[in-house]
Amino acid sequence: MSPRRLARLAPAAVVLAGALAVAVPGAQAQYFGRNKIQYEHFDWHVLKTEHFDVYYYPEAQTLAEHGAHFAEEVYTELESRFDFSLNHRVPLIFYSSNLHFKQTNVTPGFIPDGVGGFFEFLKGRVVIPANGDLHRFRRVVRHELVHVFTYSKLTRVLRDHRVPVDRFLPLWFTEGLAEYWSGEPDFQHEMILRDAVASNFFVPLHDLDRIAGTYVMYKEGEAFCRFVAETYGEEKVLQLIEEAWRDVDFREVVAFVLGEDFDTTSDRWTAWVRAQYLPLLEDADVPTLVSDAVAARGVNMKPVVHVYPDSLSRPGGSRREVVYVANLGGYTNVYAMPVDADYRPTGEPEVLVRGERSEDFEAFHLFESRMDVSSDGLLAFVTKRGGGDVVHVYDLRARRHAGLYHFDGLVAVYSPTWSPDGRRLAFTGIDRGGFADLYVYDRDAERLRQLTHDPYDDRDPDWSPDGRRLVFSSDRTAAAGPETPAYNLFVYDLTTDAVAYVTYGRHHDLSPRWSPDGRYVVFASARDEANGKESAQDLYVADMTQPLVEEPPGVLAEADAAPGDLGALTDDGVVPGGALLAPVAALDPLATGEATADSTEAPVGRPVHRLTAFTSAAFDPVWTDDGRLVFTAFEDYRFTVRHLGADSLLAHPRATVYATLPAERAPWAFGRYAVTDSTQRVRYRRRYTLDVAQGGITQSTTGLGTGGGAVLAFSDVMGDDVIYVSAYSANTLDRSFLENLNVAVTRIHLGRRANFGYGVYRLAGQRYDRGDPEAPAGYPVFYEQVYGGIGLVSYPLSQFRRIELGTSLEWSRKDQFLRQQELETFLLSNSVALVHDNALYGMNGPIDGWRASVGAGYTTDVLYSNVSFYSLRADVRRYFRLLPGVTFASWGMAQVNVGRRARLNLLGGSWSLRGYPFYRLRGRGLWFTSHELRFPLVNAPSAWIPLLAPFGIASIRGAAFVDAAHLWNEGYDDVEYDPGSGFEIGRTLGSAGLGLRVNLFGAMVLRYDFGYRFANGLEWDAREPFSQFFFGWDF
Amino acid sequence: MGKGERVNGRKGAGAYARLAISLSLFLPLALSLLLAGCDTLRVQRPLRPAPPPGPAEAGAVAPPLEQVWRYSAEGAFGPAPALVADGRVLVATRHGEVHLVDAASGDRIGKAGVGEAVEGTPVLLDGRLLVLPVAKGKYGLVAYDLVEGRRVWTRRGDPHVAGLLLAGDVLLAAAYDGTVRGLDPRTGTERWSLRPDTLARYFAAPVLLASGRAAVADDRGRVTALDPATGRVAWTADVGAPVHETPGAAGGLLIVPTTRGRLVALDAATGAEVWRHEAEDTGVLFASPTVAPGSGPGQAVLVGASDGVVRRLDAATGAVVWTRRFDGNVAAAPLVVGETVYVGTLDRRLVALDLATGAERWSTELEGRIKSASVVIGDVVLVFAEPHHVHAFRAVGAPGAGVASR
Repeated sequence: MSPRRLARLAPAAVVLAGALAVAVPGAQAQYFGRNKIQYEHFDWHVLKTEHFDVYYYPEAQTLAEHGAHFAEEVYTELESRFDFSLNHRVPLIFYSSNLHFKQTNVTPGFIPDGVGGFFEFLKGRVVIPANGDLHRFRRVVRHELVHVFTYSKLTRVLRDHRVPVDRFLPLWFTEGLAEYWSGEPDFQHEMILRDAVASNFFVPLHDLDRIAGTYVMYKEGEAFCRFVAETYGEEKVLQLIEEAWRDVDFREVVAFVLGEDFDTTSDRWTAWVRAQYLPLLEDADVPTLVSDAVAARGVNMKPVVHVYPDSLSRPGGSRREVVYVANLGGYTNVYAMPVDADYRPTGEPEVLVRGERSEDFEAFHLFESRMDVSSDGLLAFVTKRGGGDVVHVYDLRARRHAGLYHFDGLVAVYSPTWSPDGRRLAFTGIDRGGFADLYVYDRDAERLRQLTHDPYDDRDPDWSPDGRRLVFSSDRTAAAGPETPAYNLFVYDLTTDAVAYVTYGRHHDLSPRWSPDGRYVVFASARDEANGKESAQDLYVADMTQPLVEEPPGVLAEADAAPGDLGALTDDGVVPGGALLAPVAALDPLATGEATADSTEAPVGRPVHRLTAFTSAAFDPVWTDDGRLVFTAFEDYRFTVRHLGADSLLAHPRATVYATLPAERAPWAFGRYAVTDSTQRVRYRRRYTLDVAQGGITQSTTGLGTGGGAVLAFSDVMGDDVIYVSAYSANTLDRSFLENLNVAVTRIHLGRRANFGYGVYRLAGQRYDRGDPEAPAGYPVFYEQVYGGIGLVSYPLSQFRRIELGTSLEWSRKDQFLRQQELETFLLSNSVALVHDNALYGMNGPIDGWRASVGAGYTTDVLYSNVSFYSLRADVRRYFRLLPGVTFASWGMAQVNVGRRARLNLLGGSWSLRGYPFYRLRGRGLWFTSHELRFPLVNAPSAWIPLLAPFGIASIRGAAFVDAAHLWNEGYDDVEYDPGSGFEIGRTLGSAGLGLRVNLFGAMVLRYDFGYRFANGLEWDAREPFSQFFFGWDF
Repeated sequence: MGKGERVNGRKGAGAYARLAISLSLFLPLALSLLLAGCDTLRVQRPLRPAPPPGPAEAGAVAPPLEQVWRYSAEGAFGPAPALVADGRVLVATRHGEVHLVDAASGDRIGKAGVGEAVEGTPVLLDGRLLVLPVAKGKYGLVAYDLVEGRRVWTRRGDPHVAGLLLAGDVLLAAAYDGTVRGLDPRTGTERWSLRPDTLARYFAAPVLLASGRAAVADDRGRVTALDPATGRVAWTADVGAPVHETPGAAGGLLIVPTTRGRLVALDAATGAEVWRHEAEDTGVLFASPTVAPGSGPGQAVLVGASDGVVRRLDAATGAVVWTRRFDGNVAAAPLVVGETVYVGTLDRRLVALDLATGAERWSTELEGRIKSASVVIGDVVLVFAEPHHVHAFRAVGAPGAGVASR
């Protein structure tokens, strides 16, 4: 992914940066947000290759050498494709797993599952995790380096023509190009495009910006580049970059390069795509027409089936459930859908495990990890928990969480499978080196055993019913190569530790499951087709009663035969077998390093039946005890759990091939960068380089003076350390430049779990501070000079909870020139806060979950005794998702500052107490509550009301609200007139009304509220109408 | 009312005074800025054409070299070579300017704006009429009189990415839209035009063949040889791959570089393919070839490519005499001076190779990529490098040592 879209900033970093940059002392700031936690302390090293600085930690050195090889390999290729050489060394930062990758500080944003890597512009860094799949790793390295070349070339082109370099190519083009030039289209590309054509959601060129950042956009962009290359010539693809200087509108660039107007190109491209895929769909089955749904709303994946014993079943019928992971538009949960004997849902799905809102179930690997259920109803599944993955055991029958397993040394864990006796668990594990291997955990002995140990990607094991073997999917096949990914099925014999082929060929054979009787293995597979494309991903069955045939030398195996041999079907749809040798336990020397067992069994091959011919893709089949195949289908850009009858499909397969195994299987290995000189490897030393340098000058039109300043930010390559230097001054008529000079130097360290920051500052000038008790209420302005230092620590307890500590020491002199008073203080402030946030965000703000902050602080004047007060505050916000798109939000808050010259708390305005002026109400104590019903008015207006789209309106929502608050200074009921707001405090205030929220470009929310204000103890008769317009997210 | 008017009147007088003071300060500044931005390009007399480098000059620029001056052209350069005449170099830029620089000193003689980027090589008629191909904007061709310092004519229409060719008294211009025109260079009047392929685009400049014909190659691989005077097509040939760089003429051959790893030599008389050289990778983009001075057996063709390899081929047979691989692409046509080949690379190196063996004799690193053809004027080698500098090199020990930067 590229320069990928990372939605939200990690709050700890933002809190520290914000607090330190402005050097605000005390405990007044309230921040929420989740925590990006650095669980690991990586010992970074640098491998210097010809063109790259490869950053890695010692455990991942081998991986880094593979990555360095991939990068140098593609560099030469891209240099020629782009007709361009890079004149700078590119920093490549490699992580061994996604879970390590998520901890990177190169970007402050959270990195969701599924992000394969990114390239960032600031320092030109490329950051990529391997996560066990070196073919995928290689492809992402290539993808991101296409971005590096694209960005560098574009910048050069624009500079050559002295065009501002803030002009970017459209995301759909850059991502499409990165996909196109990183390798042949993979089966996911085919899956998306087949489905887009079959389900008719193919987005035309002129509308691609509307789906920016989606997977469809990537694949359509890739298809566009391929279309240009095949229709107009490969050179035109590069020319689209080289001519980008001609116009800021990329459509004009396309028109210039291709010699026709943009709409014509769009139409031709659409026709080209349809012409590619419509013929493939003629005989295809639409999943919704040929199978029945178990779960069809939202994203539903990884199904397993559990049939309860009679004692736990209803009278007259067995009780069975399909258990799956799903996201219905909010949090991801584990659901159980009750079904009848025909697998028809008999009720609503029950949430078994609520995910993504507590540390134990921080994140499911929705697309990576399968679940399994034991015969006695124990569900095994994986979640991210803290810095690594854990295997959970959930007792379906007791409906309780029965335990979890964490394995030292394993960072990521995928797809646990139970042994038939339920005593052992097998799974895929990824260690700190970044390679995916098979492991078995013995629950009784509490012993972990590693089965495979190599760079190949071993995934999705499933335990055979006899308990002797594991079937799994792996790219260790001889049909693959270092540059040609392929996955075949293998069995691991737990008695002999031998690995044998189950299938063979240039396929993607994935997600195998045994049939209950052990005769078959069902799996999902995509295969090369005669037209050079990958096929749809369909359900296949390998007949394990028949041996895999080993060809005599010189005979083509299935993988080596020309693609499209399936076209030579006999009348009964069967491709006759070729050679006829098949030891059931044919040990594969490539897989095991052992000698091949000889055999002269009967001359039969292993039939592999293709059961389906779907329009797009099927995933993760499960063979139930009663002969059903429950699986995930991808159709109309949705993932649904469906089922089919296995027996009828087996009786009438769409095709059958006899899997054969070539006698000569050339071993292969991934390329690895050869380090020729020990000086190429050095320990990482932190060096700061400039990230941001910005300055500005303002001139007051009223002649009060001029203001100017600059901010500099420096950071290291890892982004662990950031130093801010800011200086500004407002040169007024009565004070000199130096008298009003503000300087702050701060350092923030994010490289460890406990983020900390410290800084020193000198602030001087006029301040407008309504919370200062000494400031006049009506015009709270004074001159202040401050020298001080500040330190903050943020310690995350989990992704959702943290402790914040703050301290500051500062000397201040305030000149209350309106009152002719001067006040000196030397304040020591300490504060502590506990913050929780697991809220789920929609387009305008939180829609589910809750967040809270409680804190206390004490501020005292250690020199002049002019100030001494303590602060207490609590803030709780809860969000109830009533319906999709409808949320009820409740907010309760109390704050009190007590003591000498205690600061005042502020309230009022669109962000808190509506109907009152913005932060004008002030008091030493306050309570506040707000309740709001949020509902949609117009979703996706660009589709429904195209007129709104040009104005950037992404959504229009409504709100009905009730607010109430009470502020006081001395006594709770002491009524005072507040000249700053024009209202009386000491009374309970409130408001009620309706609101309108308009989201612009998905980035900004305009707010308009209107209703009645109750300024006098919520008396209905004393109401006054009000309306307010402002901007900002919902609370 | 009257009082108010008097008050206003006094204020108004003050305001006028302040305005006058402000203008008196502002106007000289504005004028100086205006003049600074409106450089003119004018010479006292027509420029004499540059003689081909003789043996003396060739020997004088043998490596090692040292930089003697550097000139900022304020805009980057296209791939085509600059014009040289009368000891001066005319440099057109992608910023839409043309600079006239003294080759000996690096001093700017003048500059003029043409509005938009110039990618191809201009032509100079009678030492004074400069015709520039413009790659964008209202005018595709602009003619400028260097002596009078003014535009003489312009031609509206499609952009011209390719350079121009002066064949006798006919100006040949291959427009981006695939039209080739024969024009009167003095007036811009069209004498003939043809559009061999409506889908083709011209990136490569027309080339003058030994027979007096001209040949032009398009991005659909079609090469057309024609009579410059009439536009009559003599022959066409298909090299099977797009041509983005200007071919080279070597005696009776036209050597055509393509974007798909293929360099094709055509018989200049018939268009028949004489030989072809294929790179290992079909994605290799060949740069414009350079034909070494001289003729007869063993005449050298030197060509760089996006695979970073410079190849010396035998012009007659296409046989590879030697190859030399660099770390960066070679996008610019090599420069042959005497027994030395100067190669600029995209990894910022200027390298001198032995013409006979390909052995590296000297190299230096510049601050930017070299993607434009270098030229030689007398004993000075001019190299055009990113971001927008002309570097002048002389042989070490030659007069004029020391670096001046402008």
